[in-house]
Amino acid sequence: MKKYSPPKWALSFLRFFYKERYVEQIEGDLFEIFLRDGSTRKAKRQFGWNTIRFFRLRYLKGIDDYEQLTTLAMIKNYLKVAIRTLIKQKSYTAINISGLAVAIASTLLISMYILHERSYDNFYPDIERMYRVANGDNGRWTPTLLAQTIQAEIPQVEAATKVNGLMESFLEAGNQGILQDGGLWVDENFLSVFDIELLKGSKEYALSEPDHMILTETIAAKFFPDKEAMNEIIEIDGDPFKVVGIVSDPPKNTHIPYKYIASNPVDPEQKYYWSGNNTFTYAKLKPTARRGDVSIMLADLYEKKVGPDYIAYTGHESFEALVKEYPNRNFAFTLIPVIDIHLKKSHFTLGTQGDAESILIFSLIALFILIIACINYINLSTARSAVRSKEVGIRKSLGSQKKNIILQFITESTLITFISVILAGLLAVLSIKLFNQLTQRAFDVVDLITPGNILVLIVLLVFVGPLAGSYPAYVMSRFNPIDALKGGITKSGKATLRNILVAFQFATSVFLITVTLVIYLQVEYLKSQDIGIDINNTLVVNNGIQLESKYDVLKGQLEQIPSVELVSKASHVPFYGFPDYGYKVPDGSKSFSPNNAFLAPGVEKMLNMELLDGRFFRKDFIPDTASIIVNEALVKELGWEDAVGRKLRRDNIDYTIIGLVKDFNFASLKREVEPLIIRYGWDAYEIGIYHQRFILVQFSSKNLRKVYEEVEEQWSQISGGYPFEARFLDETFQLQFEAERRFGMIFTTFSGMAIFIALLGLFALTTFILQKRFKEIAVRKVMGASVPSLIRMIIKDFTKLVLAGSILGIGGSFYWLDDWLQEYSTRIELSWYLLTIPIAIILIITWIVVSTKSYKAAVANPSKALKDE
Amino acid sequence: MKSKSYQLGELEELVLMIVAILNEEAYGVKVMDEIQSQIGRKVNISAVHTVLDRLEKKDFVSSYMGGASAERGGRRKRLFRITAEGSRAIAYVHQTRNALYEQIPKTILGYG
Amino acid sequence: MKGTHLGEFEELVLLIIGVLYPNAYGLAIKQEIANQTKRSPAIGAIHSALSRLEEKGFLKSHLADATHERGGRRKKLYEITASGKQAIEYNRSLRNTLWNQIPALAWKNL
Repeated sequence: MKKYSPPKWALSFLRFFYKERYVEQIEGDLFEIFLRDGSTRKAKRQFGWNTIRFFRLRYLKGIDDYEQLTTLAMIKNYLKVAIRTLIKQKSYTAINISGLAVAIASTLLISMYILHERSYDNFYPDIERMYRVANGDNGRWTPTLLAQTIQAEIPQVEAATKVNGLMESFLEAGNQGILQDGGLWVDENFLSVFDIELLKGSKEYALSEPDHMILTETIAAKFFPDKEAMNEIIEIDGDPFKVVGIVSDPPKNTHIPYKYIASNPVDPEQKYYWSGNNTFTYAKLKPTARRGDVSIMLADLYEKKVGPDYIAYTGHESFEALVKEYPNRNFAFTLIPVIDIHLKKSHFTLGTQGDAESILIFSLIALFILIIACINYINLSTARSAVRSKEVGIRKSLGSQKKNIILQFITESTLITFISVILAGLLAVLSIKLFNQLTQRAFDVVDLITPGNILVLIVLLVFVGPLAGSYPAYVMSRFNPIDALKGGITKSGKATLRNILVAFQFATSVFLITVTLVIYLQVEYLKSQDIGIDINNTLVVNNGIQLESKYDVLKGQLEQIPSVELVSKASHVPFYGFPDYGYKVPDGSKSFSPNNAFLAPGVEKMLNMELLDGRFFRKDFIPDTASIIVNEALVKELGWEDAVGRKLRRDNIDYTIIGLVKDFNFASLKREVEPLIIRYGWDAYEIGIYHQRFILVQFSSKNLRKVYEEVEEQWSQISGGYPFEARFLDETFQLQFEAERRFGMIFTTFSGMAIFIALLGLFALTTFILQKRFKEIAVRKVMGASVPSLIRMIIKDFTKLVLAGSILGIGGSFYWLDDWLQEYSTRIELSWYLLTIPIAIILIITWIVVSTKSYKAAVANPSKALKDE
Repeated sequence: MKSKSYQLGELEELVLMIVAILNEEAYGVKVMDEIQSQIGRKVNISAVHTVLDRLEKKDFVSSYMGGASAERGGRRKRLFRITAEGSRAIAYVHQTRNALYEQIPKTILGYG
Repeated sequence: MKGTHLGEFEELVLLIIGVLYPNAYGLAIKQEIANQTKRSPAIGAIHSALSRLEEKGFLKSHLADATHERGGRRKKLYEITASGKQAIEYNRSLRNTLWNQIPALAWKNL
């Protein structure tokens, strides 16, 4: 059997906490027991457990002869009494602690999230000098030549780099090949702008050649598990790259979560146009540079470099004329601080987007939950004071001073807070996985330990615990002992205040329920919209380009499968994102940038597009390469009466419109349908390679898995080992609601929590109110009141509170939801029945809780209550 | 013997007697084992330490450091011996209890 | 032996009840403890020990006839049960076994 040794932590624990003169004997005894138990794993656990069992005041360093210190003895006494009280009132303690623990756990998670979101990119030493160069105010893409030009021509720029990514590519080394995401393609200045330390390799050499690459440690270990990665060759989509550097994995709070960095210098052989935007540009300014000066020079550079290419493309007379025509557009390059990218300019990110609004919502929810838990606490304690007034009376008549009583109550509340904090920590740790799913982040348990959270806990323990106890303590310490003993004090704290607080809890619950409901209804409504095309029964296979001329082979093979009806190809597919191409009306009167896609014949049948006028493309009909099909939105944008027969120009080629299709949604249901041009997707490989990025397979079978596997099998035979990647089109359509789905999930989770805490409070409050009115109920019963009438009487009070709170909650939620819905071009109306559902839910739950509790009181034998007199 | 009353908790009394029985060989683990074998009760080692500390504070036992041994990972034992005061305490408790016991009418204890 | 576990004070109370038989009631127990041990426990402590012992099944109780000196209130008299007897016997034999093992050396300094 394996021999274990005593746990190291236990030994350090002993030495750290316990007085030296005790450590030796304790350790000795524990060792002896450990050896006797056979040094097993169980013995090791026992060792640790015993160490903790020795955690007593008298062994602790710094506490000397504590029994002689009266204050410590008093505290010990307060603690003892507090523990007894808490154990005696089990349900009260459980409700209070679980409510607080859930609230604190939410706060811990949320504050960790907020801290993380606000910390993006702050680890670069020169972050205050680092900028993203935007095209106009919000354009992500910039001309390829921009980086090298500003580095050469603007003296205040210390370094600038062009960046592409993050990309997914097929990486091959030795005999393993994987589809690897996180590829960042950069030029040789990248490391001068982004100060990333190389664990191996030299900064100067690393990105000096076009076929160099840098790996993160994770990727290096993945491809070369048992050898040194440096100087090895990895093929990226077939091209060999040499590993010349190793870096650590980037921190989680980066807006560029790269996994490897590949060299991608400007190709001197190629001609670049300033009007083409193909890369991202980053710049680092010199320490002495002023942002304002650089901005002016960037605007100037735009006019000088981009201006000529741009007006050549649009056909304007001069740059001034162009600017005049679009007064709302900023024809300049602008500087966006890198530190602002994640939250304030999140569409510039290369990773997952941050959202300043969700931070606000998160903070508000955390605050709500904390407030609800605090209200519970205050309500319960003051209500309870009625029940405990006798105890206070006895203590007072036995000579307790006000101070003692206050201290006693404060000890109790501090103890409750303390236990809640420990439970909350546990809860937060356990729910971190779920939280990661909600927020799409990758937090570890250690991330919970932030300065903010430590502060929160200290504030809770040092201030909130004592403060929460001090109000009821103050109220009770003022009781006249004689009245208290007689049981005459039933007025416990301000009843109105308590009612307001309870109403507020209901308001919050109704608010959260309404928001959750409306988000859900809106998403369902969007999904049920007629998008104008049929997206069912279509499988979209990615990476069609990898097949090259073998597309025809695959098409032939797939058509052999009985359940496959049609195979075709496209450059872009609805809901995968369409690019915009510039076109102009041949007479030069108008230039614009509609969405553009190349679709091979057959796609229109597959998607069931509706033709309003003209015809679709013909198969293998070469003249159709100069034909286009447009949608209604385009015709409307250009202000035409008809479309078929008209021409549009691009790159000096005139395209004739041969068909007009009914508008269908291809981007997002959040937006109106935009103008679209459909070009001819060629079947012939030589010209059409770009047009076969996606292969579309229409099938008739209900067995989706079988279809997927059959297509995959054919792909594997023909593609030569390139990984198969495919998704059903309707699934992709659903994915666009991912953000809403997550948003809804966050609301559901936290509103569930808030309602849970509020219900705990309601439950406890009912209990105390019934206790207080126990005699009244008994008297009424003796006088002949029936059980249902008694229950109705109690429910009536709560119903009023629920209704008052609901009106407040509905009002608040409608105000906010109205704003939220504005984002959507098609949206539901906030109607009257939405008002009733959340109120009904809360009301029914309240009734159930209150009536079950009061039923017990109402059926109880009245003599029991009256005997006490 | 002085006329003085002694008060000993139940576990205190047992531990004190065991310290006396073990005669200079009493230390934590040993006392724990002895409670187990003589009385059949399982006590946690930390509880034994607590009782021993309390007895020492009351002056019923005294302690000194013994030799180190390998089975204790080189740590020394803290050995306990009963003091005169401790002896008086168990003697007192023993006599009091026996005296009470003798006064109980034998009929109720079932000797007839 | 589970169930016969007796705290020090509980044992004392149990023995005193035996001594007082058949007249053991709250106040008498208090006085007898004071007489025999020079301790004066609070009446509340005695009552809580009594109810614990009763719960454990070591005691049974009944109400005696009313007497004049108690203002017409009836006394609650306690009696040791069979398992109470067992507990006393067990404790006594255990103590005596230990006692007999204590070496003479321990007594030399008395």
